Amino acid sequence: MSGYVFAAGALSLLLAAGAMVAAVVAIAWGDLGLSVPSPVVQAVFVLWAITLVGAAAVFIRIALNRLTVRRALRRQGPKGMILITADTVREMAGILLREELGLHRFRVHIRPMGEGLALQITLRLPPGEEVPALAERLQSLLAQEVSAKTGLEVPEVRMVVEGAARPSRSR
Amino acid sequence: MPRDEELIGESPEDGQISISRDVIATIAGLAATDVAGVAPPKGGTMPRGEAVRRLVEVELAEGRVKLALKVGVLHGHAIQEVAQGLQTKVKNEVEKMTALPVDEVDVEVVRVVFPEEGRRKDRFS
Repeated sequence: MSGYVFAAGALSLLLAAGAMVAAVVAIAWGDLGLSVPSPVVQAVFVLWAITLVGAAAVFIRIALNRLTVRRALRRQGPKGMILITADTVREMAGILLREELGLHRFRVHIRPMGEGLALQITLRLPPGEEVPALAERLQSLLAQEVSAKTGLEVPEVRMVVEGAARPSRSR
Repeated sequence: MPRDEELIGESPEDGQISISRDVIATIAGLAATDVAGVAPPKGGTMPRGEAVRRLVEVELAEGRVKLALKVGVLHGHAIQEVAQGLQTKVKNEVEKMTALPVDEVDVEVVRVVFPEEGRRKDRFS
C-alpha cells in the first residue's frame, strides 16, 4: 500500500515540476501574456523545478524498493497467499539482534535477492566486540532464524559497521 | 460484482437459504483467534465476539469464497507455520459451517508481538 502512496507522491511531484518548467518556458516566450521575469526569478523557478524532479526521483526509488520487497516477501501456497511484511521481518531481526547479540544501535535494511531476501545491518560496534567474530555470529543467526521462522530464503546478510559505540560510564 | 450475501440453498418447498458476508467474516475471525501464535494486527488485545470480523475481508463471487486476513504473530512462533495453520483452520471452519467452497485464504502478517505487550496495554487502558 505504502509503495503505491509513494508512487502517487512521485507522480504528483513530477507533474508539478513539469507544469513549472512549462510555465517558465511559456512566460519566457511571451505565450502567457505576462512580462518576462528577471533572470534571477527564472533561475529560482528552474532550481525549484530541479528540486521537485529530484524529490520525485527519491519517491520513485522508495516506491519501487517497497514494491519489489513486498513481492519478494509474498509466497503463493496451495491454500492462498502468505505475505510477511517488511516491517515484520525488520522487527524479528531487531528482536534477535537485541536478545541474542545484545546490540542496541542498528538499522535493518531489506532488499530482494533471487527467490529470497538480502539483509543489511548497519551498526555501531559495541565495546569489546571484534568485527570478524560479531559478523560471523550475526550472519549465521539472522540467516538461520529469519529463514526458519518466515520460510523465506536469506542468501545474504551484510554487516556494515559505521562506527564504534562508546563504553557506558559506570559510577 | 461482489455481493453482500450468497445463496447457498434453494428448494421450491422450503425457500432460499443465503448467508451474509459478515457471517462468513465472523466464522473466519473466530477460527483465526483459535490458532496458537496469532496476535492482533494493531496492538492491544485480540478482538472477541463479533468484533473478530474486523480481521477478515471476504470476497463472495458465484458461490465461491476468497478470504484475506491481517494478523500479527506472537514472538517465539514460526511465522510461516502460524500462517499455514491459520489458512487450514479458517478454510476448514468456513467450509464446514457454510458449505461454501473457500478458494483462497490470503494471510498478511504485519507485525511480531511480544506476549507482554497485550497485558501491558490492558493494565493501562
